[in-house]
Amino acid sequence: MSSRQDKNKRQSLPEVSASTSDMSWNHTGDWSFIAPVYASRTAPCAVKCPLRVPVNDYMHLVNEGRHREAWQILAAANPLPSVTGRVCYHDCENGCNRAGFDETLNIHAIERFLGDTAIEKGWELPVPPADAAPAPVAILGSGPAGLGCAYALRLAGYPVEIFERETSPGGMLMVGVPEFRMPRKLLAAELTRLERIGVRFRCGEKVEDIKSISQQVMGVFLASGAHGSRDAGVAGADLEGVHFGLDYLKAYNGGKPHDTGGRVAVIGGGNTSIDVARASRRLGAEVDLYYRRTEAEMPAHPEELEEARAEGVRFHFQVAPEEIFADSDGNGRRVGSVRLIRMEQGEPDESGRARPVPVAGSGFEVEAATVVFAIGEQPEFDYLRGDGALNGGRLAVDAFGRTSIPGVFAGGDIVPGENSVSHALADGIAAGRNMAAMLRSFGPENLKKALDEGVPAEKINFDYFTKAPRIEPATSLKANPAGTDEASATLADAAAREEAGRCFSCGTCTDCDVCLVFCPDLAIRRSEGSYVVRTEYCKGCGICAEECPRGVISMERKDK
Amino acid sequence: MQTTDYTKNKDLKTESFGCGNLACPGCGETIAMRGVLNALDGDAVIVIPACCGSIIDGLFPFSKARVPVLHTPFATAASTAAGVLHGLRRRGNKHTTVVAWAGDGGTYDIGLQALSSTVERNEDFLYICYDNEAYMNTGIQRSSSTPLLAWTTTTPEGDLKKAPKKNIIDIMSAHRIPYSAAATVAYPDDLVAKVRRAKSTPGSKFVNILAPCPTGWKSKPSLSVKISRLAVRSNVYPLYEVFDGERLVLRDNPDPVPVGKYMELQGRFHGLSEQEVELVQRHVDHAWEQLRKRADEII
Amino acid sequence: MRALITGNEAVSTAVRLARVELIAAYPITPQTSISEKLSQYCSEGTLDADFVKVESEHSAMATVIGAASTGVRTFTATSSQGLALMHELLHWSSGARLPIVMANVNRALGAPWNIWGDQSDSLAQRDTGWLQFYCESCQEVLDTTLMAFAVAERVNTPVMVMLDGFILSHTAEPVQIPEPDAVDSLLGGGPSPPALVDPENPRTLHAVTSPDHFMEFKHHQFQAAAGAEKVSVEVAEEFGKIFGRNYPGTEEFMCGDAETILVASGTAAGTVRHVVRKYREQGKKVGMMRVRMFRPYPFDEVRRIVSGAKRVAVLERAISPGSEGTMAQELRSAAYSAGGGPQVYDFVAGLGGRDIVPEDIERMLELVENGADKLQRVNWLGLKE
Ligand SMILES: Cc1cc2nc3c(=O)[nH]c(=O)nc-3n(C[C@H](O)[C@H](O)[C@H](O)COP(=O)(O)OP(=O)(O)OC[C@H]3O[C@@H](n4cnc5c(N)ncnc54)[C@H](O)[C@@H]3O)c2cc1C
Ligand SMILES: Cc1ncc(C[n+]2csc(CCOP(=O)(O)OP(=O)(O)O)c2C)c(N)n1
Ligand code: SF4
Ligand code: SF4
Ligand code: SF4
Ligand SMILES: [Mg+2]
Repeated sequence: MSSRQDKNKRQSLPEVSASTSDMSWNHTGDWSFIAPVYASRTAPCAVKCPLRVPVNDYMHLVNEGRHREAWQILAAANPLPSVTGRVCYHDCENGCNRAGFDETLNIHAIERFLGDTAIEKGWELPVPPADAAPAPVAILGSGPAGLGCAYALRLAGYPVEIFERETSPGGMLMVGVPEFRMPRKLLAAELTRLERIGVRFRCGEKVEDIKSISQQVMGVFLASGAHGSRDAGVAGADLEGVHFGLDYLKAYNGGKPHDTGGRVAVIGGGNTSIDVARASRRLGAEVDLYYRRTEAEMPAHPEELEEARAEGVRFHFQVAPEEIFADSDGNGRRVGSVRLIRMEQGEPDESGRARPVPVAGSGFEVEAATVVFAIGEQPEFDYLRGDGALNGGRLAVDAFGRTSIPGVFAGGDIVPGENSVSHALADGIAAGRNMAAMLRSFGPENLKKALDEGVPAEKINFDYFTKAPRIEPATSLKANPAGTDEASATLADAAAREEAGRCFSCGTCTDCDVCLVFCPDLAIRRSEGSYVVRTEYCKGCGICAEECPRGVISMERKDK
Repeated sequence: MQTTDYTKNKDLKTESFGCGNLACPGCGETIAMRGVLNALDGDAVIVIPACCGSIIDGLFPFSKARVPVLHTPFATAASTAAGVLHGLRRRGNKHTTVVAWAGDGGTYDIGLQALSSTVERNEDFLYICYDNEAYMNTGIQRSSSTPLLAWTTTTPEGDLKKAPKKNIIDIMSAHRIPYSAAATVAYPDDLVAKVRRAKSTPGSKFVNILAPCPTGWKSKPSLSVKISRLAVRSNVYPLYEVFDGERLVLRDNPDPVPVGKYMELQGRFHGLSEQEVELVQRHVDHAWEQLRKRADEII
Repeated sequence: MRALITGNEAVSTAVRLARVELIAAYPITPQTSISEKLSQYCSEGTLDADFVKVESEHSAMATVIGAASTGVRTFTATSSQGLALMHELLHWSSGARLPIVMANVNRALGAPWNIWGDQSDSLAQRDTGWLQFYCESCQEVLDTTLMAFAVAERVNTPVMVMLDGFILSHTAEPVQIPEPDAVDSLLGGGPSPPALVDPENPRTLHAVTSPDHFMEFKHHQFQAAAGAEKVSVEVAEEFGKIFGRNYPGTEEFMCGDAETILVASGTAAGTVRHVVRKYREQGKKVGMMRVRMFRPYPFDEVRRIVSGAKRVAVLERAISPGSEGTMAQELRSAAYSAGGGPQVYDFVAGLGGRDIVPEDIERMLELVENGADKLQRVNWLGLKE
């Protein structure tokens, strides 16, 4: 046995071409001058979102049932998800890349789901740093702008106080938006959660003069909203039963609604007009809404319009009031009818829309016991006592939210721009961060992300996704609504997860391994939960960037 | 759609081959080999006849492979593998999968005879053809796997390939081998599942892996995986498996894309007229219909 | 034990005794009965080997290459067209340094078809890196096949054993069959040598090798083949000690004082020996040299043998059209390499199985001794007018 081995021993030289060394010396990366770069990019939904909520970062977590982690990401950008999940006009969805594939993602429904879940589970916001800077900041107004600012400042460690003239905080969310759209107990829950991280509300304290507070603090944020009414300029507006929309709603929301007389004419086409109409339906009235332009031009959101219609509100377009007449049967002081006139589209006005012009001889009269003018609200700033530069009737601010008054910032409805809850929140958060940064000379945060255009749909690799219809929560719209029950429902857990699973996570690496699996050169490796590119081997083929389902990878010059 | 498990928590050391291979950028061969070796958990001996694969691996004294590789003449992938198989088994190794790793030239053409004989004897090995549809190593000449109307240096413009691609799975099925399958690099889950199924099946197994070749197909290197996927989505290259030469399991493609979508990304099909693309479409449709009819199961 | 067996049976018997582990072969006349016998041994269990029934000689050689790469002892057999079909792999296996043993039953190469004895097939493979041994008797076939394994495994180079088609392959002679133990003591009999292909020790074999290294490998291969001469002699000596039969690389028969030496290989040597003996009886100084080991070519040995002669006549059962016979070329280069040397004449006979009869040899002798002026570079014997 051994004899054979001894006698027939192979010669010890490397006689045969047997390779035993690896190829790692061969830096095939030298073949090319480009290599992939991983960069989390802003999803287009986040670009559209006034709050820049990184929707792309949390949807996959919802899908995996990791709701708390998802909520933490959401709440970092938006402290009121239960609120915004209901009242935000969700422009995010207009940016959704999924539109080019099947249907947009139901982002706000999931946001609402997470918001409600957080309340139910009692999840808390992060505790602000203990070594908080002592400089206190005063905020005027507890609407979303004030809340956003307070949140950002608290996270940066600043003590904040919010002055609110009403008896409870929330601004328009409390006084304007009716309960059947925004349950107050949920609003209260999100507000007390803010209180628990140290936001102090001083309710019932109306600020008469800004100087009374600005002297005791390092900075002031003005967020008093737009609560002033506009003169309707219609004869008979001084009759009983004629109201301004916001006042009418405030009374309704305050539990002391005006007597409708059973027949309400709402004038206007914005969100307030719809809320007035829907509230009136709940007060048992017949409701006609008159708007001087076409349906398509209505500023109210189509969804709200649909809901109002379902609830029995009658819409009349291209009609405007000319005069309000007293009720001849009564004491002569209460509204009895309105004369309206038909309008047609004329030359474009300064807003670019066709100016509505009356059609001569088209006047007609309708009965009404109540007329509500919901034709817009405007800010009032008596407390400035004439200080502060204006811009189109609003307070002028710069890119950082600074007014012309030193140390005074402003945001929300009192400054130019869109009037919405999330814009106000965003203004507040941005101003709060800027104030914190300026107070502590922090650099402007997340500038790159803010400038990002958002991942275009072409960068999304649709091949990795399957079509699935958008999931909508149930609504319970009744032709004769009553009470304050919420008209729409929150998604159930399973539905929320399923809908979240539709999200592409545009611009967010979800560790899907596609790049890793396909790299022909093993140039992509895992490292501490993410990936690294071994540029010394990357031949620059670009497969990873081409295949990445969510547009995270781009090929860039290596010398950069 | 894809959740490949084989790279999870894998570091470079446990991959079956290392960095620095000599393939062109975007080459499908390496993607395929990585999938196969990972599916086999690195317990393999690879027999490689003349083909791009014999270059890609590296020049003496280097090799990217971390499993034994035996280079062998062009026509002998299957027969050499059979020898290795018998040798290993006689030496007491009962677990290592012997893999013949050949190109389409080495499989459909010059190596077909040896392949036929080896699988006819039902040798317990796995034959992988990484199919790039031409002789690439020698500079893009047609093989019998080259598709209809494709350009190669031996089917130049004006004389594009007139015969359709040979159906190697049919040929393997006719041998009634226990397992034969068509896979491609864009579907790693499918590929890995097929290789694992092959590994656990005794006897001869054959897997054809469509492996795009940017150099020979005149396509952008970045598109190799996309082209592979479009091959499937357009029904140009259906994914299926045949058990014992009989039971055919076809992966369905309910929403096929036109072949033009596949062809337009490849220079080898550029300049075809609408009628010519239409002709290819008819061929593809016909083959797909036949396959569906024959299928015992459509998944 | 003595038995009456054919040349082909001698091969099969040797393979069985060598405990070959893997055989891959493909039928071709006159080799077929070797494979048939081996299949029978394998199926009845007298030989514990895998017999892989391939579809061609090309695959047969590829299969033994694969198996030999894992370190098992391998064998194949072929003839003529089959050997030609293997050509590519003959180079490959020797370059891969695999100790494969093959029996080649010499047969003519077509066209036209011919199945009978002719050494053109193996001589055409002289540059493939295989060692070549030509046998004259059934006993020698058996013994040479056994020794082939020892030589091959000691120099990591494949060995081809030649026997003339039909004349030897199908002719039964009494043969001494060695005892298995005795064979084991020559060949080790035990486990196989280390494997090149080994999953426990992964290596890549025969990758593209650049001009930077290629020559060194070829030089190794070249040296191994050259060194095989000495190893073959050693093995033959060991063999002689064990079995009492001695096989020099080159057989000398009455060459000592010979003025004319006839050179032959294979079975033709028997006829030549017969004629030489007859002429010696007549007092003529004639001898015979039989080429047994053709690769490696024993230059020094050949030169020593022929250097004293006036003339050498090479009898070839093969042709190399456009040149002279292969055997003559080799001999000439050996004989003349030190300057001087005998006159070398080249004769072709017995192609495609035509009998080589004593008259052919006599005529050859007559021509070189008395009619040299009539001779050409290559002279055909027994050709019909
Ligand atoms: C009826 C209605 C429905 C709406 N529905 C929606 C909707 O569905 N979705 C949406 O996005 N937007 C909606 N909006 C718009 C949205 O409510 C506002 O854009 C948003 O609330 C503006 O936030 P803000 O913080 O700037 O002001 P506000 O929310 O108006 O808050 C300002 C706060 O400042 C207080 N304040 C004012 N002056 C003083 C003072 N001198 N001293 C102390 N406190 C003071 C006010 O009492 C008020 O609480 C709606 C608006 C109305 C009127
Ligand atoms: C007997 C023989 N003929 C020709 C060649 C030359 N040759 C080497 S690789 C090759 C083509 C290989 O084509 P394929 O098998 O499809 O592999 P690819 O290179 O396309 O990956 C040819 C023709 C050879 N090595 N051996
Ligand atoms: S798919 Fe998801 S991440 Fe992409 S835009 Fe839509 S919601 Fe945002
Ligand atoms: S797939 Fe690999 S080689 Fe290709 S670009 Fe990406 S990292 Fe580089
Ligand atoms: S020619 Fe094609 S198959 Fe060959 S290495 Fe290049 S890309 Fe790969
Ligand atoms: Mg090929």
